[in-house]
Amino acid sequence: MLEKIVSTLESEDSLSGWQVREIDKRSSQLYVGLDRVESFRRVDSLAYEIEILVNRRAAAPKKGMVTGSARFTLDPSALGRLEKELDQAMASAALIENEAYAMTEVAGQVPQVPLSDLNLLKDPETILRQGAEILRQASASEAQARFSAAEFFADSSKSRYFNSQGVQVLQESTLFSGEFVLLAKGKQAESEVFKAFKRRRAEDIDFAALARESAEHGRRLTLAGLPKTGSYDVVFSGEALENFFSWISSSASAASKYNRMTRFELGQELVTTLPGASPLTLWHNALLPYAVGSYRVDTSGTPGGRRLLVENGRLKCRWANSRYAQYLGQAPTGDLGNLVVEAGKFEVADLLKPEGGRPLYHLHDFSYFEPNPITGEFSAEIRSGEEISAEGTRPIKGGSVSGSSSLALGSALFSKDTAQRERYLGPTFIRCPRLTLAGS
Amino acid sequence: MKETKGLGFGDLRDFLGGMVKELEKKVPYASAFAARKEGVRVVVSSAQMNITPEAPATGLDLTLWNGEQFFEYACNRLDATAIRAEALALADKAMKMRGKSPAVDIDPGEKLEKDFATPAKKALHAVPLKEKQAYAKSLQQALAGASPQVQNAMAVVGDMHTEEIFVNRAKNLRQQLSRLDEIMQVFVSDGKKTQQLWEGNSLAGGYELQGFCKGKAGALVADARRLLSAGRLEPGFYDIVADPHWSGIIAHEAFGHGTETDMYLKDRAKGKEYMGRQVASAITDLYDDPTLPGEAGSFFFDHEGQLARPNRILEKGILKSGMTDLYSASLLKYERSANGRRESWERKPYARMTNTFFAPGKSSPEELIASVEEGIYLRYPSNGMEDPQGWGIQCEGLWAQRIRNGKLLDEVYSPVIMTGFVPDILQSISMAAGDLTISGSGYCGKGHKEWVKNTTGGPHLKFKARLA
Repeated sequence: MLEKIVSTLESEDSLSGWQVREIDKRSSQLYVGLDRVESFRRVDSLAYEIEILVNRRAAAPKKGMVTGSARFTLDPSALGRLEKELDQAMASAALIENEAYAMTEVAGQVPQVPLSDLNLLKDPETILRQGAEILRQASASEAQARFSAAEFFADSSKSRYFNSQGVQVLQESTLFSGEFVLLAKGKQAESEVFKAFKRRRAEDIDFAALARESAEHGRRLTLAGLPKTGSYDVVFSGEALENFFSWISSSASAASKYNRMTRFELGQELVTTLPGASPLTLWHNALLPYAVGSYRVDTSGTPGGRRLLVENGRLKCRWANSRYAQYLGQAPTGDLGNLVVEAGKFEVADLLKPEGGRPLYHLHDFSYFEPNPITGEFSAEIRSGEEISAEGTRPIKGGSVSGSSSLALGSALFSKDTAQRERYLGPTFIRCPRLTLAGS
Repeated sequence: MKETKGLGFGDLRDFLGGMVKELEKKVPYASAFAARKEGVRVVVSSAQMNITPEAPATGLDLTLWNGEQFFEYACNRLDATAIRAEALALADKAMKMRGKSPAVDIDPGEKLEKDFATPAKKALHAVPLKEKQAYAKSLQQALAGASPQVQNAMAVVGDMHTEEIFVNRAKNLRQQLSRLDEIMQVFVSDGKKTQQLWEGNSLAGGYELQGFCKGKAGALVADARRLLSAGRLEPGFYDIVADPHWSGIIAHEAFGHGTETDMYLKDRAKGKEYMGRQVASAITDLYDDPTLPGEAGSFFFDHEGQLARPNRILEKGILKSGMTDLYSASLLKYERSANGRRESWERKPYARMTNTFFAPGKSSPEELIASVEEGIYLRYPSNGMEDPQGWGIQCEGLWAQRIRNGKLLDEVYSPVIMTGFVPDILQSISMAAGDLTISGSGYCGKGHKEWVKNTTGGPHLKFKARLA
């Protein structure tokens, strides 16, 4: 069918450009609660995502060329309507007058990057059921802990990309994702520990270790109280790191710049690094083997690459797909892949030392942590952490932490240790002085 | 049974009815669900415009129950021969994997064959794209022209038509749901700081509902500009008056997720142990109601064939009822409510909210504000997150305004976060206004995924909570 779509698009003279992606997906899904399997599902899907461009002279009073574009998706039931859908798309494109752009052209080879787990492709159901069993057994062997629930998804995808400029790319990938909930029993009540995971390969998740860490974490939670209210140093680790730099990645986006959602110019400081703090240097990297954010080509056909975005707090380059790169007159980098943050020089033990007679808070789980991509402000309810002081360590939960990404990163200290989490590769611990905590 | 190779969506009711019959020769219960979505989204901003059809999202699920667990096969290739082969093989596998636990019966419900449709005076698909684009442009221009500090102004006019089929041995149901979306978003800057604010709604019906955002651009831009000079609120416990949108988020996060009974089965929700107990002040009533006319979370039957009906969750502060999906209701032996919903045919059904709201009281919003000596007025909620097991709550928003001696001061803080223990917050509700408002612009996730359309609402409420 892809060939028929391509030939139909090629034969349409009024198109200035087009692209089509055939996406063939298979998903196996397993849902487990307490001592029983609730459901096992198999899902097959096929879809064709099509985009067309029609360049024309701008209607007065505008001058020069403009691009009318339209996107549509065909699933198998709609393939018989290809011509009709294309006519409708061309009618939509005629209503659009955007700054002119062209489809992606690729000079040279599209990079190869390993994205598939062959075992997961071969027998996803067995891997899902084994994962559930390991989690169950490992949870049962932990004191004060019990298994609550887990969901597992093994997805494989084969995508074929074609465009009017002759780009043709096959991309195959797998994704192993899900979530796990463990309950830990305290004197008065149980506490819940929730962990989500997402990797390309099943072997990159150690379920026994996940259950062990969750149980330990849960036992601490049963003793937890509120943090104090005030301004304290805070160390972040764990899942918060995945979104910790979202304001930076938004400020370094060509699409954000073009749409006037960020005011920063190239060379300007996003973050003013204070003396003694770790300088912020980060890259976009879509070529890390088996990383969740890696790809051969992005959705606009732009090849994956690696690019320095921020160096010592200054904006060096914006990540851009083909269209926004053309608008801003820069080389395309492809959509944001993995965010790679340069490690600092600090030992973890030093980062976790309280100073000046004031307690320090180490926070690792939140209800939802994501700085506002426009303002960089963040606030999040604390699900778990510790208060570390000269008197010892006290588990905490509840209350909130608030701050500003720009200020927090300007004075942050990064650990030497690094780890990979979903789309993040960077320091495992980040200490930010004087954030606002609301608690008791 | 019909054996045509390529099925049209219109052929599916007969085909799926035949499949259910054939599958129930092998398993104790089978059902089928199919969905088709169509719509278009017109976006006009200061920098560009787009008209994007919603992905068609046509597909089906065949559900098999072996007495202790579900097996599902889902696909979007409507090839009768291939679907039949996959489903029959899955039925054999389901029975082979049957364990030794006592069988749980699934009740197929009362016999019913019926078609339903959202009432619409002006069909959404009949309105020319040019007309929708012109309306979006008028909203965008009103925003852009409201102040030189506007950096980007964006308006979205979208519509969605969903057709769903549910078949089991008792039911053969079809519903057509139509929805209109309008959103305005503005980015303002003073050269040092950038702020954003949005306003919008989704309503069930036809294009006759168009106009929600009309006339609101000036106030939205003025509020966004006010945020440019807003500082952060000093953390602490406050007397709070929440506007209906904030009240709605609390209804959703506090009691909505905490009473989804699929979480009871995993011991993940406190609601189970609080059933029949006083959990909120005696002036608090809370509903989940998928029958509300014109609201975006409404439907006629859920994705497991349960007919919609109102569900009173809290009555005078007492927890009366949970929200069920078929699996949890069958195992827990609860009465079914119409809350079994899928994100799409590609995902399983869970217990999900529909239109969830606090009932109105008798005071006026002005009386609530006048009753506060020192406190905060909350507007523009942005998101929330549930914690049904710990019964904690996190709600974030963009507007916290000081109230002193019963009057609103020109003192605004942003952003703001509210946290606390749900029963503590709900027990502190001391006044409710009569101005019930439902907000339909949001989506709800189960944890961090499984997004479905629903609405939240309530009146102005007065209570106490921790803010920062």
